[in-house]
Amino acid sequence: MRSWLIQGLWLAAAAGLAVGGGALQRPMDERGSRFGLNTIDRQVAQTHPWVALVNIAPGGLRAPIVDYLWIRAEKLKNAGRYFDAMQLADLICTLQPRFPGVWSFHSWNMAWNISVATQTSEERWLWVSNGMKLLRDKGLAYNPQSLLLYKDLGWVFFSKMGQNLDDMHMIYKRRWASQMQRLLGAPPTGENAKVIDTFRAIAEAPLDKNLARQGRQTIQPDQLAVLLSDPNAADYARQLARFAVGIDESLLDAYNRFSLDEAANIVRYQPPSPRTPEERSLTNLINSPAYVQARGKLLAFVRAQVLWNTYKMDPRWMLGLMEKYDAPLDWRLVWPHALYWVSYGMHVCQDVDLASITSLNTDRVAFASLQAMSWNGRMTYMDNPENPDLPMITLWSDWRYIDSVHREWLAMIEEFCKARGEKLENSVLKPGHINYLVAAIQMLYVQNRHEKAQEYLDWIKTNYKMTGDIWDLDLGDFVVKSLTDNDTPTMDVTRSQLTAAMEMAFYFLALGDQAAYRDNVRYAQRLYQAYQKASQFQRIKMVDFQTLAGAIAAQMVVEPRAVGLNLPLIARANLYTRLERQIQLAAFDRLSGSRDLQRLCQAENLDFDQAFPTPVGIEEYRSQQRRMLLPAAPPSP
Amino acid sequence: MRGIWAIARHTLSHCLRMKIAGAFVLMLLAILAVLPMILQGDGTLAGRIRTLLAYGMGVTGLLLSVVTLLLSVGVITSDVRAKAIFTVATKPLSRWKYVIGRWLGVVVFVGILLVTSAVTIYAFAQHLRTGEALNPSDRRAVETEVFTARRQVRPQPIDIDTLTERKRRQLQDEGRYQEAMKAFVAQTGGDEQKARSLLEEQIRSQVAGTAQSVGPGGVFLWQFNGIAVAGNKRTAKGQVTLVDEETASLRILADDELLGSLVFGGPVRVNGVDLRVTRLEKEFFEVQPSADDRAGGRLASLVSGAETDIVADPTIQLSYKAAASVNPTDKLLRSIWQLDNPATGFRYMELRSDPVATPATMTVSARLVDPNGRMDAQYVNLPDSQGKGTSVTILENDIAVLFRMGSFEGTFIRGTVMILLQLAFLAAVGVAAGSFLSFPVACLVGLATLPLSMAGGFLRESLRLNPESGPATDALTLVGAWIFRVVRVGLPDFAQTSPVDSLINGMNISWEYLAQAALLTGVIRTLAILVIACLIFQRRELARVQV
Repeated sequence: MRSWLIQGLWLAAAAGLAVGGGALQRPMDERGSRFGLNTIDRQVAQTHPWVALVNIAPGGLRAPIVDYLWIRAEKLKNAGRYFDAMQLADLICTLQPRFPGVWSFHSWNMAWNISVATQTSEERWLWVSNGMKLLRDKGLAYNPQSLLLYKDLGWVFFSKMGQNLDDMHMIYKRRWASQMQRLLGAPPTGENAKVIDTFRAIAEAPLDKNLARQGRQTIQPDQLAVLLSDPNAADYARQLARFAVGIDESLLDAYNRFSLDEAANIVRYQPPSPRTPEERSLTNLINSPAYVQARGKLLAFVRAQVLWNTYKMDPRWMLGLMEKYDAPLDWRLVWPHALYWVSYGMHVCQDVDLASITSLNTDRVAFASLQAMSWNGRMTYMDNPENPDLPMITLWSDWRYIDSVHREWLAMIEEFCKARGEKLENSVLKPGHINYLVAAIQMLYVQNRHEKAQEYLDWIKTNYKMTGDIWDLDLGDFVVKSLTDNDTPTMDVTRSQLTAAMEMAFYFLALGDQAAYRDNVRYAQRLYQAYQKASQFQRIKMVDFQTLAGAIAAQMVVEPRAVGLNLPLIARANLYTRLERQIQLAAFDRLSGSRDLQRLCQAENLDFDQAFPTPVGIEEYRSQQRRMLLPAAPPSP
Repeated sequence: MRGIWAIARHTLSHCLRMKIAGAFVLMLLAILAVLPMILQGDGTLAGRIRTLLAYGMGVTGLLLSVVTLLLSVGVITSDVRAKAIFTVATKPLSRWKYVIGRWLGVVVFVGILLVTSAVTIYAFAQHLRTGEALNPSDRRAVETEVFTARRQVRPQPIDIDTLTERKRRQLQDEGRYQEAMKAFVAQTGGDEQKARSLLEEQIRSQVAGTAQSVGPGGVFLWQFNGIAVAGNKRTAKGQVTLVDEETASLRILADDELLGSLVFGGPVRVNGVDLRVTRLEKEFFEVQPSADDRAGGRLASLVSGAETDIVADPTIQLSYKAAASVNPTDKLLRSIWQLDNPATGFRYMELRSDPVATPATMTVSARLVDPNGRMDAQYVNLPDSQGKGTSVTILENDIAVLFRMGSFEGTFIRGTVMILLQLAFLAAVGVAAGSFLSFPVACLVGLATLPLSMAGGFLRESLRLNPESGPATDALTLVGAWIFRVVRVGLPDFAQTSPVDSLINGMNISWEYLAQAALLTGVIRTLAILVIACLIFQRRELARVQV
């Protein structure tokens, strides 16, 4: 036989074998996948070829390499050297990508152990966010069905960032708030429906939720094309492009810098100040009434895309949570994210839809997060011009969550009672529920929502059959008694109640509602007296009531936004002039030294001395204060 | 010598022609080019540079080690296989000169590669150094903990002997010593001498433990001697950007490097006036001069926009590790550190919270060190966030003062030489293996040597026999451990002598240490292997078929 023929036959045989091998490969892969024999499944191999390569290339040496890396990571950690921790964790996890425990361990190590070993707030945040990102951006990408990782991620938000176990917890809250403010802006103030409707635009923006392409690009080009099929949106995008503003994060930057919308403006100390003619034109375009709808669409689109591709969050699920709980979730807070990740994990891993998610089948983090938002769900956010990543934030209790939490309690107790065959009033969960409702009644009362507070008090009495003792008191007495009943109320609780009551009082005073003002002052005084009476030691007693009230009044006049109110200057002047003399005296020195207030008066052509006149008797008050500060005279012989 | 050099030059050109060398060189260059882009460290600039140095030098060392082994084996075995050795053997050249020449040629070749790689890594590190730091403490870490060469001193040792003696006397006076002795004698089966030694050991360890622990509110005192700060003062210009009358503070804009030299609460000289830093941010620092300084002194002219002369002291570091008898709820130990210059009384205090049993570092001004190199340190053990206290232990070996005593460049060069010594040793192993084995077998021997030398520490720990497990230890582990012990006698532990840790921690590699390593690895061990190689090759029948 001729040699070329032999060669041809061999070649044909080789080609046949190659094709045969290829045909057999797929069923073998499928079988391997079905029986869990593949280290790397097809999807991971396709979406993360680097991971597939790293896992296959070392062959049998993979195990000793992983061992070596673990030992090195531990050694460096014990030596207090963390520079390589991130890289090593990444490598170890990449070598064992389908082992959720490994991701969980390294994320925990960074967020909890390494972070506290650093001394500056920047480094502390870096490690907490590194731990969070390891789970969110990598761990979940390789293990989208791992409930453990979703729960861990929720726990980072709830415990590490949300609770106050870490002395830098406020830094984490501020850093996170700044990221979300930049992305989503401040939610509108007002009723739940308005907040939810504002978010709806983001949830309905064009977005391809194919996991394989998540995070590959910040903006999906095909979805952008869908958006720009709207001629108005396309026109606005063209106008923005003249200023080098694209339909991406540069749009968010421009919006945050120049927009006069409440979502951006409410957090600023000063209105936008465009410096160049080009910036002035961009400011006009960003605020142009002609493009309100187009602007809303573009912003919603960019926000949805960034949420999905950068923060790996599903805007529809976010909206779903807001609707399910009928809650005005402020995504700048950390607790809504804890709620999101835990509930989303249930949805992805156990195919549980929103309606079926209950407090009983969900991790306790979800319920605790919702409850935490009753006490911290309202945020006042002020830009920090010196460090935009660290805004000034204040957290306030938010009565809008009470109904949702109460419903969750009820649903949970109902299921629990059904399972154990118990009656509602005998449920072991009853004390917890009552404690929550009593605290809610205290909060509602101090916020002048007496009707709602009464409603909950009646509910407890009717459904839990509570009678006698404090349960027979009227609402006002009930609140004071419940606050002071268990030994001395803590100074923190009294101060927060007292502050809230006086803020409400001054708010009503600014509006001219004297009756509501007096109601709140009366409540604050009763609380103050009950506290002072119960405090046995001088060191835990509070300063006199007028001084306290003066400090609160001064703060409301100087910076009402810090307490969550948006009072115009004239209303602040009214508030000041309507104050009782003793409170006015206590407030005057605090507010007259404020340069911001003086500058504001100047900007609005208001004479500071007329708006905030010096109260009569100020010198006498000052000398009285000085005398009080002097040390007590020694006893005469 | 001429013969050796001729062979070495021939080897050098031989190496340049070998494809395997080319492949490794390309791989090395590709990795070095990619490393700075893919390594992120921990997000800080110092972390990035440290990671680059660690991985860059590590990868260079590993790849060049493999290249060295393959080349050193290949240059002799290829001559034998291709029968080119016959033409050499017939020349008026001793066989030992041939072996040494081959070795030298390989060493020169890998030396060139090493220097090229080291220069590349150094250039990348310097480039990264110009990048933006996370904050002033990050910049300070770059300048004072990475691009430096530091030495450490431990505190004055505790006089354990005297304390033990005192404790023994006290126990004897109370009659407890004799009681304890009886118990130990019973425990040792009547061996009084052994019992006494055990008891003495226990008393000593108790005394040492007590001397190195303090209860809640307790205070540690240490004295450090021999601190010889070699750093320079940093002088720069700054610009006043804010004169705050309310807080009586000046805000001064300064460059990144100067800010990196300042410490919060530490000293700074502004227009010749000594002040303390009251705020330290990424682009500026603040000071609060006294009213006198502001009124008529050298700061009177400082208004917003004015230029100032700033002088920052060199810094030193205090590193320590505190352990707790009971872990606090948040696992953080709160303390106040007070450092004093014994001569001038200059004092620095810092409130700290450090994780339990984790090394911590504090950077302070070198002004705390007196002209005789002394500094006093005091640690106050504060209660935790719940108001509860715990006993804290800081062992003598867990506290040290680190101070600059040389340049990073000097350490980098000496570190590179240490890697070269390792490569020279591996080249000797390769040449020795190639002198009597065929290429594949010699490679196997060489490549088996490599992990034993490079991952010595890891293997030692993995194969460490646990005395408590006793006979339960499986046979395989026992055999492995003993084989490793025997092999380790002749092999150097590259992990111990690796310069990488010193480079990333900014620790000085002294000439003495280098000389010691050169003597042990470069002279004794390498020479021993080369002598063996020469003896084997001298007696070898070159015409015989090798396996």
